[in-house]
Amino acid sequence: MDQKKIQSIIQKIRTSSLVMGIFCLLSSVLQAAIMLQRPLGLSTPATDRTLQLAYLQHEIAAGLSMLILLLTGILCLRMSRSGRPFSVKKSTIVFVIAILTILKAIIPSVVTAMLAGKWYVSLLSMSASSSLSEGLIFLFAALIMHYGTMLQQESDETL
Amino acid sequence: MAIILRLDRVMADRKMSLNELSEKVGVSNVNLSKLKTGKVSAIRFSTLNAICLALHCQPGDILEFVEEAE
Repeated sequence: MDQKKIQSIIQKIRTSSLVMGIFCLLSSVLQAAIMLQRPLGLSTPATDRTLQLAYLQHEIAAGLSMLILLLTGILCLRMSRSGRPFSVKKSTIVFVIAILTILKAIIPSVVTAMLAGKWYVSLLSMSASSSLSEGLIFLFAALIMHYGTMLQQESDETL
Repeated sequence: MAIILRLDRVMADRKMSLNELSEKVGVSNVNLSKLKTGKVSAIRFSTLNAICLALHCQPGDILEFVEEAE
């Protein structure tokens, strides 16, 4: 294989993952700052019951989003350091991101439905949530990365 | 594995050191050492070609099949 082409692709992976990593980590910090701002009373808390539930649902989803962004940032920075997208740790991180994205679709709706006592609302909002399909896509990507890791290992052991 | 690399034997016959072979083949000492000890799962045709060219031998001189009891 053309070594120059490989090096050029690796360089592109490094640069783009560094940019993505910094962007994700900054977004994660921003998300955390927004979440911390509310309990400090800087924004107006909701008094209405329906609004409170919507607020709680949003807070749980935001917390999970922050975690997902943090993990994506770590994944991208790791990628920019090594220049190799396929490793056991990286595919595990993608798998964890997939699980968190699926949880992001399930937990907020279930918690809100439990508090409101309306299960059909939970089902409706869960099925309407794009996080569920995003999570499944990530799960699929984790499987592909796992296969890529095996191929990378085989390539490393070939002289 | 049933396939054994006999690189050390051919190198000894040709009186060639690992460093010399490394320079001629363009593979690092560490990787050649892995080849010698059989710590690799596969070898590229291009690497095999370079080794045969440097040692003036046939692939069959380097690779040997030993039947193993299952």
